[in-house]
Amino acid sequence: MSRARRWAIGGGLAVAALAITAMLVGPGDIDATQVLSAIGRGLVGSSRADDLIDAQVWLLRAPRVLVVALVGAALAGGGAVTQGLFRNPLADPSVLGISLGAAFVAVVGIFLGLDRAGVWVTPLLAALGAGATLGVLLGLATRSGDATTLLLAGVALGATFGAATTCVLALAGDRHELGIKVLRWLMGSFEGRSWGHLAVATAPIGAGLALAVALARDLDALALGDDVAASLGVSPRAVQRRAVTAVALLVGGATAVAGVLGFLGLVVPHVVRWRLGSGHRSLLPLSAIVGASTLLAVDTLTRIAPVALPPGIVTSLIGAPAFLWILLRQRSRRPT
Amino acid sequence: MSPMLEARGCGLSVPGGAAPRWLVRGLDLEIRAGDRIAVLGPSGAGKTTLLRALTGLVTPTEGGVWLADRPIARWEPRARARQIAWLPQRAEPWSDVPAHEIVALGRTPHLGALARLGEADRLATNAALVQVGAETLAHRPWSSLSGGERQRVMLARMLASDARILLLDEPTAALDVGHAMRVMRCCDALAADGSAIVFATHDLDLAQRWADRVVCVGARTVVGTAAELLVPEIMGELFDVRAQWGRRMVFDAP
Repeated sequence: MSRARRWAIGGGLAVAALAITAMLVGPGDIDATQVLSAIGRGLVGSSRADDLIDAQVWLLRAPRVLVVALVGAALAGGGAVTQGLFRNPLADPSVLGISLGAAFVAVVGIFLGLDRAGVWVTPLLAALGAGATLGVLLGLATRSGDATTLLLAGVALGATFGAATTCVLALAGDRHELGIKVLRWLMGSFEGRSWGHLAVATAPIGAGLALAVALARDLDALALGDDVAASLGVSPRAVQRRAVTAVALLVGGATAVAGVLGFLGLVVPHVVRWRLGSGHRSLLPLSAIVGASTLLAVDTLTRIAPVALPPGIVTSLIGAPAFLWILLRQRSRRPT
Repeated sequence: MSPMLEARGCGLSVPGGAAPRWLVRGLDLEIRAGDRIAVLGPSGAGKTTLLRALTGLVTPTEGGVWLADRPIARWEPRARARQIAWLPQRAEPWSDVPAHEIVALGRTPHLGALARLGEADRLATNAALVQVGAETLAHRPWSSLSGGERQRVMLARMLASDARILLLDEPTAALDVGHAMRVMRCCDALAADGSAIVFATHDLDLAQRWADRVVCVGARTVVGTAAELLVPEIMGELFDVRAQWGRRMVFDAP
């Protein structure tokens, strides 16, 4: 059995185990056996509608856990595609301001009340924001072709969108509810995520992951640059268009349902690449699996922790030092 | 027998000032199986651009490039890539991949978007590594390879595609005389085997040794046999130097 397949099976088991562990934690005084038997009843389809424990487990905890796993998969997969697209291991949707672009457009939508038109509005706006940001970055990267420019441009875009979002919040100063809602969302939160949220996120993230996996071979071909890809019969422009769509769907979907979660898309693909190599055929699905289990672990830890930490803070606390570490490693490895 | 690849009245220009600056003008070149053709000229003269045009990466300003009697732009890109392989002057992977993954990229034109590498692809990859004497490098990460080793791995990537038209841009520019010779020997063997080799260089010695025909890219575009063109008068004009025949050190592979 190949290493990638062993990882996929191990990762899948880890996701399942972490998901069940995550379901054990939460408000309400339910012990582990009760949760497990409620999960079992639900899986065989014999949940009791009037049972409080079943309701707790299946209406409150299960959707939250699934949203966490889905968002983890989306951000890590989106990160892997972004890195392949820009040929840069530091290209992460949160570092490059793509997540903040998604958040900004979604916040404007919420501010204008557009989100009342339907549950799909926020994910759609977030995807548009992510796609537009990515398009601008791609334009800059093609023009200068320099990795430093890309990262700095991403930082500048992120700062702009962050400030613009704060402006919108200031404009909404008298609408207190709205302000709180947006702020908590920006920090990244899974509080009160329901089956409704899950349904809204599944469509874009599922489509994004499928598109990403279908791009694997072409992202590989980009490894030696656009020209070599073109000489191998792969159109760099077509790959870029499809990769931007995939990342927009993944980051847009994840941001719409969970807010801004930093660095997951940076750290997870980096670890997978380090252990398994850079071939996108295994990198993309494995990043998604490892991303799901990582975010499940982070979310569970934040809920067990004595102080309630937003998960976005935790991913950034781990991710930002990892970013520095990768940066330094890049520098020291540069061929002479 | 019709040529494998052909330039007909091919002109390449870059925008410059009032009028476009012509790099190549009126080039007629037939490339056939077994050919060893040097594209010779000073730095910045347009050798790279000509090779890119022959690969189908840029469209000539006038005239055109025909692959097997069909304009190259009309080929489906993957079908074209199965026949023409291109080695750029410089290309680096962005992540530290093992050499065999680089070589396997050469199989891209043979693979569907979702296909995994099959037995035939693995065989071609291994054969290409053996052909350039790099089989022991297969599992070494890119960052651990020396310049000469990297160039051999890149050469293997070209060969893994099974393309019969090989276009190499300065294949030996970064190599010492020994490694350069091994690379050129490899090209020689491929030409003897029925591939067509076109290599760009500004190294007269290299052209003299390894080319049957020469395309001079400079103030004017000239095509001829090596014996006709590699003479002091023409080379002197091409490189804007005074040239003369003389004695020089001669190298040969052991």
